[in-house]
Amino acid sequence: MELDALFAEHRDAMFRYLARYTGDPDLAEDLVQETFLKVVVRPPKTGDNVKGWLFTVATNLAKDVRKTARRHEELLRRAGGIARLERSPADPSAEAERADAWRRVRAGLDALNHKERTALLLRAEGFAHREIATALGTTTGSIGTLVARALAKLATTVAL
Amino acid sequence: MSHPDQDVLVRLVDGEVSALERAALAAHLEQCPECGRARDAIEERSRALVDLLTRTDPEVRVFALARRRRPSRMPSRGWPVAAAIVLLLGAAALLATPVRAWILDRWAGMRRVIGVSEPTIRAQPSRVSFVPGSNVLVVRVANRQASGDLLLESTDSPRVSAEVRGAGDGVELTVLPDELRIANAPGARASYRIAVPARLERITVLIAGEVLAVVAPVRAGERHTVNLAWVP
Repeated sequence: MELDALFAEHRDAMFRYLARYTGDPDLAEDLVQETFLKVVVRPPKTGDNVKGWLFTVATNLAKDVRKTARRHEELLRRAGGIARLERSPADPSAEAERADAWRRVRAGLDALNHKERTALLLRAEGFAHREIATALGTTTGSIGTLVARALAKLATTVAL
Repeated sequence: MSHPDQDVLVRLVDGEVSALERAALAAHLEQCPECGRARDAIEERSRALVDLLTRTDPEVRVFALARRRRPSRMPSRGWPVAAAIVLLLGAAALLATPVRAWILDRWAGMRRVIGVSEPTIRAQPSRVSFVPGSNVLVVRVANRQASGDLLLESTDSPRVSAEVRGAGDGVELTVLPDELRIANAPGARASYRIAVPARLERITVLIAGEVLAVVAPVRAGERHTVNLAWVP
């Protein structure tokens, strides 16, 4: 498949998934670009399940970036540094409600480990357990356990 | 059939069980309200999560695929050698005073034509002021110090102004188009006040190569202090 067609088909879903994973839309956009750069540099060996391959690459990139981001946050905290400031919302009441929901879902997702978060978010994108297992380098049979555990954790932190 | 575990119920909800397993589970759930409630809870939580994620998703962005030059799989060995020779010749030519003078003269003319008022790189010991070339600014501090702070203050001015306060001996400020460099010694005790335009989208503060803070100013008058002292 042509690269442009592939990009057009998967760009939005991948951006949404990465923004959910990282909590940072700017970073998500960069990671989408990085993922497709990998298609150019080192394309998948077979044409089977290209979408699964793309999301696996995206997941690995997001995992690495998140590690670095957490290190920077730790440095900031130790140095008594300054926090990122949010811009003023256009509609304060609607935005406040949305911001509150966003904080809840971020707190919930941040409390999960990489495998739990990835399993839940790929499942929300409609991936089958086999595809999620491939992205995580684990067995298909373990995905049910991961999802059950992640949902139970989220139910307590996010009050699902 | 014994009570199914949660992971089996997840697989049932996700349609990941065989027809035989599905039939056995259906028969059990019909007679076991407890397991029925557990399955319903998984379905309800899954729906609630998708709903919450959808409500808090950022707006979908329209962005194009960034085209980058495809690296050659078999790079020629000749190119690096040729590039090194060209660089060496270029460096040797720059050492010759007439060549350097010619380049500086041409660059001054070009700056007048394109309206660039600021020199690209400027260094002063204790105070600098410049208009950043874009809406992001990097403040790069060479080392952590014995003591001292870096104060960022957002203003309405379009200029970045930086000054060294206190024991600033040996500290040098250097300006690049989107970057302010503070060359300090590890034992320094100076503090720095940097006034930044509130219009800037982002200011990144790095100390010894590590990102220590990212600030997105909202309005003039905001002040943020970064401790430059070594952390235990």
